[in-house]
Amino acid sequence: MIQIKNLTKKYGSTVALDRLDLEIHPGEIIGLFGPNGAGKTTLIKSIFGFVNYQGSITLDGEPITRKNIARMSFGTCEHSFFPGINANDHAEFYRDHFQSFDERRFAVLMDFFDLPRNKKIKHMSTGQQNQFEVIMALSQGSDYIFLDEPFAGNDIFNREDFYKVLLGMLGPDETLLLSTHLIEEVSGLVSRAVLLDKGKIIGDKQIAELDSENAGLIDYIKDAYSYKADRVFQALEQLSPEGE
Amino acid sequence: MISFVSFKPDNSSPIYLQILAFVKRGIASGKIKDSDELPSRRALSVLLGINPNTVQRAFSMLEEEGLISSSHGVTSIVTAPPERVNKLKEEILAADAKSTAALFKQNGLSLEQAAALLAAYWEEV
Amino acid sequence: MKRHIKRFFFYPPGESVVAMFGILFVTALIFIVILGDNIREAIWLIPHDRIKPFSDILNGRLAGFWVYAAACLAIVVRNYRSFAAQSRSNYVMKRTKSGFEIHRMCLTVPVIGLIAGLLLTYLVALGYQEEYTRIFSSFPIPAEYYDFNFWRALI
Repeated sequence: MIQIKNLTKKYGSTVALDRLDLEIHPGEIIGLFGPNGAGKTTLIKSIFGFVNYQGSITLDGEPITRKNIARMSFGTCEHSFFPGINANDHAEFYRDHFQSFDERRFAVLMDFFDLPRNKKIKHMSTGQQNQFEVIMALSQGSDYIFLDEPFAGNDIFNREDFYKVLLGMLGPDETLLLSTHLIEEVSGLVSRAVLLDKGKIIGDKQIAELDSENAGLIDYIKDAYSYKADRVFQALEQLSPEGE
Repeated sequence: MISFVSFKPDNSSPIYLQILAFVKRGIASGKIKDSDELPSRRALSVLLGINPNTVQRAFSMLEEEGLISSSHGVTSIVTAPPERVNKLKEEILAADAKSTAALFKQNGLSLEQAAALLAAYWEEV
Repeated sequence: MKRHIKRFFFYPPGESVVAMFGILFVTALIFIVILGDNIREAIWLIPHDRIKPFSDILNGRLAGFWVYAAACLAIVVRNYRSFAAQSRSNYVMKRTKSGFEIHRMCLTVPVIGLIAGLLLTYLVALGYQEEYTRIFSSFPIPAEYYDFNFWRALI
């Protein structure tokens, strides 16, 4: 379990994360939702220690260091592959550096996405690069997989296939945290939704709970952000010339 | 094997309910027959891109209602004897009639007006 | 074994070791030719009635080494930056078991290059000491004139 307690992150005087608490349990598929700037990326980067923060983050009770950090993997829209080498060389690198690198999964996913093995990653299309980024995160052999907006630039068919592959592939104890703005698309995929806004968690709900309440995820999310359906209308009204 | 190809979940209600409704309507319309086999939970989860917990819940509900039975916890078989199918048909028809009635009422129609309207289109469909 | 060597030299991933060594080699060659010639000229131009100690001739004439050292340093900087440019592969590096890995990748080639360059510079100096000795051994000059202070050649 990953336990986050009282996590605060400031960039200068801007508060990116505000005394945030969160527990991530084995086997969960978590959708991390929130508008741009809500702190989704900062939260993930804090967990990995890629940014400094205040508060405590532990993995099964231990602080996250080089000793246990390989139990987590990270695929990001910023990309973290090595642009100058090809897929086979990546596999070799991961084999050398991650004991639990999943050779089979790597091969299956490479075939599934039909990615070339001998092409430098920087020469692939953006869509292919995103796929490769995700492949490496999934194949590292980690227990906790974090994907941050992994599908920017991929078409919907690609994404839908990908969700299916994910579901077929993940073991019962593998945990996935998916940060995305494609809420509708992943609403059936996730087992839990965590809603972030202005550095705070404003909603955290198991889908099973929502099901019992007969409520849909989208409505729950709209409620949490107190989405005002007549917002557009009001804005237009204010803009319209006087006297009309 | 029951095909879920035409199943398209939307965001109007929990997905497990939509699976439930899909199977029920299939049985009532005769597309799904007694002792048809369902895909495994895992396979269905992958096929639809839906969380396994959700599929599990739908299957449990179907079991509770006696519409499927699972042997060895692996394959699930539809149990829909004729009388059960008829009952399902009635249930679904009743539900549809109810929502249609509500629609007519919303539009301020009287029972006679509604009946007349229905009669007018009866031959067309 | 081959894989082991590759692991050691191949990275930073995608960077060409051959190109890196190539840059260093060319840099080394240029300064040796220019500076070496400079020293030769200095030796030959000494008036024989006013012979200077070898160290005085060498004085700072190999300071071009620092240009080479700067090239090595530039490669180090470039290597480290390659983990944050185009993509953030340093996120992967931070998950590897050994924190030293990234340094090994970034430093191995330039450090070897730097040591090799230093050695080469020393050999150049040694070579001209040989030439100095050959030319002036028939003159009555003090023995310490033949000595040279390598450090003084560099600054």
